Amino acid sequence: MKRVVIFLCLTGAAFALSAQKSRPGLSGYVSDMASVIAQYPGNRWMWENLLHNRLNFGWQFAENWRLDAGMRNRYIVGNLGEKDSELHVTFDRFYLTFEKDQWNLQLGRQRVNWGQTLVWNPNDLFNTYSFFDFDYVERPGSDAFRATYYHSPTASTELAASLNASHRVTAALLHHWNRNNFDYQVMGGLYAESDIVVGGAWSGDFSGLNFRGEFSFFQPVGRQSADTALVIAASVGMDYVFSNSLMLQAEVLYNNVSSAFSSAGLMGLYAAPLSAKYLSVCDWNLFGQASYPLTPRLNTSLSAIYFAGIQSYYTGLSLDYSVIENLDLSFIAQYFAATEKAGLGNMQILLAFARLKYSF
Amino acid sequence: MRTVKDYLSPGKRMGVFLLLLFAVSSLRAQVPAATEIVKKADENRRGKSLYSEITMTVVRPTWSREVGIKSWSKGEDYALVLITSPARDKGQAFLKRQKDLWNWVPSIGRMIKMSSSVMGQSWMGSDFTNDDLVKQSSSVNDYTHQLEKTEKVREFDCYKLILIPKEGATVVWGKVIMWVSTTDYIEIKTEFYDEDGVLINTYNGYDIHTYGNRRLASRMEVVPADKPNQKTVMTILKYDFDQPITESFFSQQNMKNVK
Repeated sequence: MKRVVIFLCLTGAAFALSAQKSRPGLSGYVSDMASVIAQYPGNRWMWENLLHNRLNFGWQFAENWRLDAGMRNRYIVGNLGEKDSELHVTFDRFYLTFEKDQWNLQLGRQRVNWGQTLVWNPNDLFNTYSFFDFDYVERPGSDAFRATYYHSPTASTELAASLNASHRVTAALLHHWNRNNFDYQVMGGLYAESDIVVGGAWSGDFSGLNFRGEFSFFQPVGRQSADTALVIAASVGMDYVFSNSLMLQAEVLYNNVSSAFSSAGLMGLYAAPLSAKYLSVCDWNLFGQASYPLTPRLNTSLSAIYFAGIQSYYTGLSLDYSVIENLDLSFIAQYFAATEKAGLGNMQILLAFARLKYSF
Repeated sequence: MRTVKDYLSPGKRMGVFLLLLFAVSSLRAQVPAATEIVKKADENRRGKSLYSEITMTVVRPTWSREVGIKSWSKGEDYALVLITSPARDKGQAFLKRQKDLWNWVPSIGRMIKMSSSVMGQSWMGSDFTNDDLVKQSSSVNDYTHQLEKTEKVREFDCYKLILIPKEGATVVWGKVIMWVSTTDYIEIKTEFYDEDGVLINTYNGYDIHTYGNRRLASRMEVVPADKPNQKTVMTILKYDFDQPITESFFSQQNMKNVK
């Protein structure tokens, strides 16, 4: 509640002062999503209704200064969590930007996104994208300081340092440039105070076929880590858009995940928080997706992942329909099937979601 | 050393001036070469630089959708497009520098490199392609031009031109027929054909307005050949030609900041 008050005060103050500089902007969405989860064996059925509101606030209050805040309010009813109903109010963005000439400095809770591929991002040290969590593409922000220097219209160097939830520091330097119609980046630093990380990535295309890749090496150092083995995370993907708007996408991830992590099995995808170091629950992962707008208002997609290391797979279907301007209706189904190799015996999980979303 | 200016007396100078003027107008009276017409039409709508505010409406028999954009361009090599509406896509930006294309998605704080293959793709579900928006392919450089005849389209006297893509050019179409007005070089009508010679889309420019010293259509419509009851309309809310914009304006830094 305190957060709500702070936010409202902030918004109010911003509007009151707005006459002086550029007008503050408020945007966001309200959505209602019903989910059903069925699990076999056990024949467990779970359901949930999530009322979700997001507010994005941005205000350039002086020539080189800007304040951004993002608020996420959720009211959950169902038998999935520990309580029958829960209210969550979080600020996942709250940062100050100073921008002058080729410099950009940002301090506060923000999204530092270093990804280049579309599904698994070994370079994305600060905030990990999850393909399955389609209802929260913004991802939680990280409490960070970031300084970016733009050398040219297409090259930049970025220094970012953040403190994670367990007060561990991640600090890294990224250099990004473009050559012969390809984007490249190299990065390196300290990861969660436990690993030295170095990596790189690229994005470009050959006659329209996009070719993207990312790799990172994590070497545990110091007393913090019990595990001392080098961890490699590397993903390579391709995507192509046909003239009829059909998009085909494929990606491969190699990640020599520790045995401790993989024993969580397929449920680890939900239970364990993913990270740039451990992006999946097994070593080899193959992804494929086809998306196609059946009509300009109805977008469809089919996707599949094969978790080769545990011989388990995922398939997904999504339908997104634009009902009226700013109102979207989505139906999403996710199906996981684990074999005995996954460590939990044969298991199947079906998740189905129906979401109505109004953007403003 | 004596210059031409020193050599000519004021009277002679006036004579030469008139001569030149006459030479120019006699050139104008002739039918210009096909490429010259396409170049002029292209230059007319593009300018040295252009800032525009546009509303695009996708019209279908039972519904319609509107997209608002702001766009900056310099020649055919540089463009920056910002989505201003609808709410879901607001703040997304597209940057084009020569053959490179990027998309900035503010909600995820990420810049995504795009290939030229998306250029033929429909722009946000409309009948316009991405190419129409950021003008990746060049009607001047990517095609050979042939002037067929002059012909009347609606109330305009037009040059009818056939454009065939050059070998190896990354263009979406197999053939383009363009009608350019003989006065003011306005693109009045264009037909887009696929590689099999089948008509796909027809473009029409309506409501000619004066913008500075140019005359251009302020409403543009694209109608797909196989679906005559649907169309996409682009309405020009603002055109600001030839303002000084440097090449460095079209940067990844600016893509994240333009308003």
